[in-house]
Amino acid sequence: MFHKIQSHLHFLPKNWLTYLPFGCFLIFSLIFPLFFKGSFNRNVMIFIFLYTIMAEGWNILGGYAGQLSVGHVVFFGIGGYTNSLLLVNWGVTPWVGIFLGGTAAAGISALIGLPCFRLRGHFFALATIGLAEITRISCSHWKAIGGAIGITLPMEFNLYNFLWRGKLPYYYIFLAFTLTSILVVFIIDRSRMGLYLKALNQDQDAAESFGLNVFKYKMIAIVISTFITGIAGGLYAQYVQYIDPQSMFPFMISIEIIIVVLIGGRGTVLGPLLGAIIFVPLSEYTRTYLGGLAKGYDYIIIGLIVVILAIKRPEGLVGLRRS
Amino acid sequence: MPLLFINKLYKFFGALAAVNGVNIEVERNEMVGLMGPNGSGKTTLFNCVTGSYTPSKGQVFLDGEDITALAPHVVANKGISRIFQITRVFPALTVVENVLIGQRHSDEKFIHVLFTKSSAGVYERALQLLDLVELTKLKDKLAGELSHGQQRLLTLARVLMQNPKLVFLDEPTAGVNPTLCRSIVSKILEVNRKHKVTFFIIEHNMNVMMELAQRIYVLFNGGVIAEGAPEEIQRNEEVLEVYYGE
Amino acid sequence: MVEFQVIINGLIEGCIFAVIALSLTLIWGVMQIVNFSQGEYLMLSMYLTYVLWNFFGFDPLISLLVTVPVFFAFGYFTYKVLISRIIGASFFPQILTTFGLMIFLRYVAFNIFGPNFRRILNPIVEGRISVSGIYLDTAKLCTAIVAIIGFVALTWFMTKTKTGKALQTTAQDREVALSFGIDVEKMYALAWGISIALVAMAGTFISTFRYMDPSLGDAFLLLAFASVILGGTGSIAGALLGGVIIGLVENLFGFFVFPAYKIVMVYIIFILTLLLKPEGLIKE
Repeated sequence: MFHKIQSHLHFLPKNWLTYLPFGCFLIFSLIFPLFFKGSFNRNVMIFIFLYTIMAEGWNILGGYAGQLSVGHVVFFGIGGYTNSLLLVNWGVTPWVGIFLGGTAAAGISALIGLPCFRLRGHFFALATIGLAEITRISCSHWKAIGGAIGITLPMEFNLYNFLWRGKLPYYYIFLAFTLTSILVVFIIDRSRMGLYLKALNQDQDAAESFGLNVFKYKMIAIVISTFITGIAGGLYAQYVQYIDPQSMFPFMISIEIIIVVLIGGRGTVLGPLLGAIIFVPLSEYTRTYLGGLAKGYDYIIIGLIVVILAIKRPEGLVGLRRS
Repeated sequence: MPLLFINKLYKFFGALAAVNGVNIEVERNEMVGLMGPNGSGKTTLFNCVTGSYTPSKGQVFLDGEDITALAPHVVANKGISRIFQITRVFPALTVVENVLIGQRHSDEKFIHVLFTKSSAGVYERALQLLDLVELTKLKDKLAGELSHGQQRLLTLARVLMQNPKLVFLDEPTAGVNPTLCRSIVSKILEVNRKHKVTFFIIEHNMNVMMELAQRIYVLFNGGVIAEGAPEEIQRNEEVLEVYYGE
Repeated sequence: MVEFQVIINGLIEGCIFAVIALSLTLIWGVMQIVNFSQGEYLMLSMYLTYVLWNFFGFDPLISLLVTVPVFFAFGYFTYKVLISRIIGASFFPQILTTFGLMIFLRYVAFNIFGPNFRRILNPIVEGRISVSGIYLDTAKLCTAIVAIIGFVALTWFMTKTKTGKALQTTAQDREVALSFGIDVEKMYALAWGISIALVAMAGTFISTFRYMDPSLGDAFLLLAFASVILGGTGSIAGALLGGVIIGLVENLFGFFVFPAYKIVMVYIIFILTLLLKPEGLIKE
């Protein structure tokens, strides 16, 4: 018992200051709806939550394990589609369906990881893009799941269906999921597994020479990573209540996830959160105030930021604090 | 029974035989050296034993067990550790975290891996090893910020964490100043005596090899051309020719 | 007879993919950078051709004289200002820089031209010619011919000229090139310039038969990547071979099996190549 406590002592960060930013975010997001009752602002927060969940998921694979997936949207889409199909075709409640969606994404990712983890760097990235595109095009033509037309969720707003008219229930439920995903990454970061992932990320061959089964840990990483991302897909589906291949599998979302993690800092617990907090409002507000969707200023600015960050600070903003 | 038995090992890269029928035995607690000019196949031989390369022909036995062509991490868990020629630490991990990587992996339970940094007693052992190499004060510093010599000592501590039966040292004193060289040599000897660790050492520095090795194999063009005690090797004509001749 | 038509179409389209693949493989081979923004340069060159046609009445064949030098400078400039800063950086900053560039260029075009499709009408090379019962789209045929000329020209440049050989040396081993006194930075910038100029050449001709919109880069880029991987990164002949194979696969599969899934087939081959033979068919 005492031994267990001892080893846990190294687990929690001793410095209480590290908890402060997260605490601020927690309090802020809990009381946010009391002060901001408008639909637009609540929507922005909800998307911050969704992007955080997806980014934390990606972070486990790309940040800690070092396998850069550039097609991560495919897991988002699989989660969303699984969840929606289960609801529409078999009346399965999304409270279960969302997790089944995550499981489906995780299962498929394991099949992908098996052959693809041999690939390093560019080649792995390209393979993931290819897989995402294959899925997107295939789903567009697959009549059984709606093809290009997509799936519309039933308009019955109740708890069982995980559907509400207003934004408030979504807000707090998504917040809960966000906090959970941050917690998962926190546990991984502080644990032995995080140590091993960081090690194999920095020097795979050396890690192997220490007896670390690199393949096993990459598999664990991808499964957890895609499970979380798949859940985000299910949540998104329940929120927008209509999905199609174009909205669930676009290449752009894969890039946005990476941008979010880039801004905040990959391989850190709070990096993805920070990245989402900066990225989502930036793109939403520039879109609204600089001439709407028709002008593209939001992405011009984002493109510039990405390039500048990539050159100057690839370890992200949170990464700065470490050194 | 020897601790390590390399039996008629061959490794071909296309038509080139990098390892050309090598037989080597290393007894328990021995300090055995491996010498030879650049390109003679020393590191390739190491790689074939540790699992980084798959041998084309031949076998490797550790303590009587056939470990030929097993994956690197499996070989490591069976008791062979290695320190690389180029100092490789995990630069973004702290010094003590680097050492913790070496803890036993073969019977880790997943629950422990997920929720603890280290098993009972492991952290203390890591500190002990850091003490051995006199790096205790730097334990929370990032390994990438250490000087080259300090990093070298860290790799030694790290490897000992694995409680290895056999340690492969690939040029432990290469590019190292004389003071540090003394320090490394004395630490290796101490570990061999006190902790009963067997060493298989590649080294170009003849003086260091004389001090460390009880027996030396000389490799040339992938084959063993000489074997014996250091004094014999120093006087061996073939060896001299291969190193200084032509 | 129909099979033949499909094969010819495949070969012609293959040549077009090949020249874009060539531009990618040039940068990849010389400095090990995977340029995800290559498709955007293609798109921009098409828009420039459009602008020259729309406002000055230049036929694409003539605007070629303007577009290619402009884009050579554009590529050179991109290297000097941006890419030179991430040479030697790890994979993550590299891939992000080219992604950021991709987004930036695409949305600048979006901002200027809007999302609507545009088309150049009545170019000199439009129409079809018939060769013993097989129809050849003149515009596409010209593009393919120009592509082949591009290949020959580049091969000649790389093997016969001093600068070209210096470029090859730099591609093979940076340290060796430096020891020979080659200005490696200049070689890199040159590679970018040539690469983007090639893309612009392709784009000028593609605009004679294809509509343009800001996101057309995607489709071409991924097919070009497939060609590069299949043919072998860094190999000129590989880019041609890869492109032609991809073109054939796309057309044959699309015609005889599943038109809707023809791109999927290309991606499947792409991934299989990555897994089974990542060095590609031809080594440099």
